[in-house]
Amino acid sequence: MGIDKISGLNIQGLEQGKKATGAQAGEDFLSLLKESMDSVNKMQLNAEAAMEQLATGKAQDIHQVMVAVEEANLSFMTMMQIRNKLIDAYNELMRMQM
Amino acid sequence: MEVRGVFSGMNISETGLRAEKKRMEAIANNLANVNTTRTEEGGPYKKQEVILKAKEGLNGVDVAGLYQDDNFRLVYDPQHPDANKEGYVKYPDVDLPKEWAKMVTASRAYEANIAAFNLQKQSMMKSLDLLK
Repeated sequence: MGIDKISGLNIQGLEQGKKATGAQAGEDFLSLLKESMDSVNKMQLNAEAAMEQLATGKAQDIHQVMVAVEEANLSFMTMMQIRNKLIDAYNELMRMQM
Repeated sequence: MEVRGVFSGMNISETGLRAEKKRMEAIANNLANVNTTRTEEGGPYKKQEVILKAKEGLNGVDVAGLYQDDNFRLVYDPQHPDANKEGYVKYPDVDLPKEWAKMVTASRAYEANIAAFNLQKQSMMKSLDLLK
């Protein structure tokens, strides 16, 4: 029984994929990261403003403040988890045997 | 990347909180004015009720406005400065037990919205564990 060659593998497609993952893809990831960080930061600022309004008695209702704080908290936690994951990936790469 | 989309469910609960708070405010106002015979526009206080309107799609609830009850209850009290010629005073048609029951349902609905919010928060926290 002969050994079948591996079929259905599109080498050309892989090559094209390799070309696409260049500087452009790197920039895309960076901008995505920056954008989401900006977004998280914006929510932190929102929460801060809401808490300030509550402290100075300008807040209309307390639940709005709580929701803003909770949203900021959750988005920050999400960002921290992604950061941890990225650092794990980096460490994994650094430990790689060459 | 829009982070707010992730919180859309929580925003729905927030609209619920706002609506129930408004209802509690209206009921508190009715309770405070249960014996009010004078208002800026003249006549006794009119019982207020909040009208709630659902937002389009899955976007929660909106406070559409206030509804005024034009009914009055007449109490015979000829000594009262606001009594009419027959000696009757017009009081707002606020029924204390009814208002109290509405207050309790509003506060329970408020709590339900908080519970819904917290459950959504917990599921979000749990979904963060997917990364671990």
